[in-house]
Amino acid sequence: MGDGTPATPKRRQLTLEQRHALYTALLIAPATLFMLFVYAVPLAYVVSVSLADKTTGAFSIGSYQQVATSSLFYKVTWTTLQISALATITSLLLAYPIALYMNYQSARVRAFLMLLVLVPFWTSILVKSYAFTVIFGQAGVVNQLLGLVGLPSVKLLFNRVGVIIGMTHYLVPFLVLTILTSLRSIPPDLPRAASIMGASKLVVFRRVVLPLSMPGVIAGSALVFILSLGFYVVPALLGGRQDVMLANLVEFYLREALNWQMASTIAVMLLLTAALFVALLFKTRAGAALAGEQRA
Amino acid sequence: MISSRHIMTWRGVGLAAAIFVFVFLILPTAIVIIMSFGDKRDLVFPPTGFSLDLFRRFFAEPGWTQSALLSFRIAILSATLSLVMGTAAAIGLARSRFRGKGLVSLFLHSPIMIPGVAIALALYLYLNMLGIRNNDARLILGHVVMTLPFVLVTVSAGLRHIDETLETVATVMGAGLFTVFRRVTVPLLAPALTIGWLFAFVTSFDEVIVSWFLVRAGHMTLPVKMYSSIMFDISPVLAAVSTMLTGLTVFACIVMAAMQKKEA
Amino acid sequence: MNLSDNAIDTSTPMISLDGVRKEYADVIALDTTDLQVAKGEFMTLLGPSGSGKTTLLNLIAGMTSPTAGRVVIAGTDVTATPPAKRGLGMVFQNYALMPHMTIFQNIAFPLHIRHLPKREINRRVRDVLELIQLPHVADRKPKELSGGQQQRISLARCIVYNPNIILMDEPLGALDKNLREQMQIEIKRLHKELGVTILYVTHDQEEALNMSDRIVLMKGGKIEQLGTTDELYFDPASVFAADFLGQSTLIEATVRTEGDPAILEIAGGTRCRVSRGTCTAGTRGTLMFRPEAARLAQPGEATGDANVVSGELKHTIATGSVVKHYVGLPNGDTVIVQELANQHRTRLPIGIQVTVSWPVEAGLFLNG
Repeated sequence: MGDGTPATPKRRQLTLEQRHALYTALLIAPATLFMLFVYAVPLAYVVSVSLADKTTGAFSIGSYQQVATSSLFYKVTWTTLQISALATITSLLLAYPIALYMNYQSARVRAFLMLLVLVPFWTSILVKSYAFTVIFGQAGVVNQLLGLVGLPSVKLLFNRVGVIIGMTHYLVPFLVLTILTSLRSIPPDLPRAASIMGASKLVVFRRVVLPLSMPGVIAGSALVFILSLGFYVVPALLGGRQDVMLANLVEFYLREALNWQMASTIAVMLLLTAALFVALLFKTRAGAALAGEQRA
Repeated sequence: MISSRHIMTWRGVGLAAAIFVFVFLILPTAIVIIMSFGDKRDLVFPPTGFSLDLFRRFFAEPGWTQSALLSFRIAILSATLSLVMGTAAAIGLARSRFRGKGLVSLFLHSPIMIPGVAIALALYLYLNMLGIRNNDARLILGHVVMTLPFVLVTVSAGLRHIDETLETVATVMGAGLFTVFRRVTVPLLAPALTIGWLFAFVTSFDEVIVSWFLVRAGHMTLPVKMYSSIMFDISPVLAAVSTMLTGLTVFACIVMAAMQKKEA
Repeated sequence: MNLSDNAIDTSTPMISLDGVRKEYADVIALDTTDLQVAKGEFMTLLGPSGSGKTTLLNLIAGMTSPTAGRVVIAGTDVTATPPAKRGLGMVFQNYALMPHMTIFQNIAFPLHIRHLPKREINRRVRDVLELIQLPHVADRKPKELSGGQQQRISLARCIVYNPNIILMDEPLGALDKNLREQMQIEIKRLHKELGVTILYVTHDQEEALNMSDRIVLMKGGKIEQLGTTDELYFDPASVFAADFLGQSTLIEATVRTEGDPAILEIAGGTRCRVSRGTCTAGTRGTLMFRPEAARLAQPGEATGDANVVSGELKHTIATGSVVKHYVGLPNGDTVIVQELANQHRTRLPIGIQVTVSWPVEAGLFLNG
């Protein structure tokens, strides 16, 4: 109006913080919306299916009552927990020594050994499962070799032994990686100081290295146990009738019993079990450290 | 007193244990690879002669090659989609502070921890309800859910290596957001982006359970085809497939290791 | 010490903060503040960590916006302007050179952003490398240079696009002592040659005294004192200022008689005279004087200074060029005396009784 003051812009000026918040929202939105509609909503849909009546579709906890009285469900849950615990323990027994061994190698040797851990880590679970069927089968490599030296053949496939070997093979690299990380984070001065003070190698290990690597051991074992709970391929391909796990039961109800409600209910139960153990893991310091490592 | 013999013993035990575990990890795949070059119709170990018959059979059977091509297509598209969305989210999360950020991050990472069968069933029922029948679309949606968290993990780790003041200084010097992203963030993040994409690619290429639930008849991905073959007919071609798949894995592994070295 | 040769003219300030205030959820990072920085001035923000100097810098740079108040740069309100559009340069403690670019590319980067023609970019980068006396490093990567060289490149990257203002956030914090002094001289030289306005953040009081036209001393989110280096050194406004800049003797005192000079009672009975500070009879406060203004004598030795107090020699520390004596007074206060080192002077034994004297005009009475 010619009074000399500059016209105030019509568009509301955003503060720097508002502008930043807008950019942040634009960056996070695609992934978050995608995961909301292609992951969270489907999971919620499964929950709703599990709570619907098979014929009328009305709200019903019938499937849960059926599950609660199903001896098959209890048996499979028990099998799942047993196999998961056993696979976690065998994996830990194999992983700790090599993590320790790798920790004491020169950087170059360690990098090479790391490749020997990473290649199996990345190898398709189907390649591994196939390898075990070929090696452990009735006419497989192991039994061929046993036959050569005149020993009776052994049954390593389609039973608990096969499942545990297959799962351990899959899980060991996970544990090596987490344990090695926590071993590497021990300041080298600590074991050095302990041995200067006169501690023997064994004492240094037992009193210094082992306790300081426990966060990695706990976090890694918990991670591996949680992964085990959802195993599907290994028990299906290497296990027998006695080794059906919860994930296989979900498929059984969906494909063979054609009962979506039961399949959903068991999936929800499996989800809750895994969530329970995840929550327990996050309660521990090790879990918090692991989570911090992932996010931060 | 620690005698030197004592130390030698411990070293020996450690070495023996390490060799045992590495053999356990490597040997099964190695045996299959060796057998895949055998010259008999049936698999034997050790092979009696060298031949590439099994590989020829793989390329001669349209069922196998089509599965492989489908897997490549799905893995490339899923990994790329995951990389774009995951990188944007990783930057947004790393460069901001807001209430509920931890929750958003936990949500986006959560598919790592959730049993695959639950996601598989959920998507199966949900996509059927929505009537989405396109095989590629079903698989890509499922695979992005499975791979996006891994992109998020690797790119977030990469961002932690980048000194934030580099972005700040570029901004103060007058660079717009896009220029900062293109000239500063992306070049510095290149190794992490490569790792993230490869991670997503391999995860998608090897994914079994979600694909097993979502594929439509006659459109099997390579892992689904392998799964059903191990289940039902144990074709010796599986040995050749395993060899090629492992070759791809080793290649991806070496590239990732090289990138990690570059990043440090 | 820097006796300023630039006259400070704040009538048309380069930076002006009008009632600027910054609060986070539960803390006041910066209390309501007014500040003007003159064109071509070298101003230092000095203070301990958490004093608000970084917040002040971030508000000017545009990293964050104020809860209240306006930020004006060169006459334009930039309160809501993003950092890229404020026409600033910035130098960081960690140099912030792009590791994926050569030195040439690093310095050319701001010129590329401004879409300058290639030939012009080449010329200006060569010129500025010449100016900082590193013409031979153009094709190297930052990692191949020493810390001091990297910081000079970082300066060159600012200078090359002629920003009105250069913000420096503890730029010498990562360098060792010798290099730091060389760089102080280098920065002062560039400041003088280019006439650019510099806002410099540091927690090192010596650095602030060496380089600044004016110093803003900050404490607890507020400006504690603003003035030239001489004002801050010789006329500190508070005990905090006296203590933070340089070393000082601070002893409890009570005003007995007003006047010029006023008479104070110190160290449980000794009287002394002081001509500076607000002295109201009966108030308790602190007497401050600088160690180099005081002199040490043995009892009975005359120094000619008006004020004398006696005590016990506790320690003597020789730091090359100077010698410092710490004298304990009967009430527990400590007086510091600084002398130039003298090879021929005999060392006084620790524990003997000595007298400390200082001229009337050296003392300053501070309330609180």
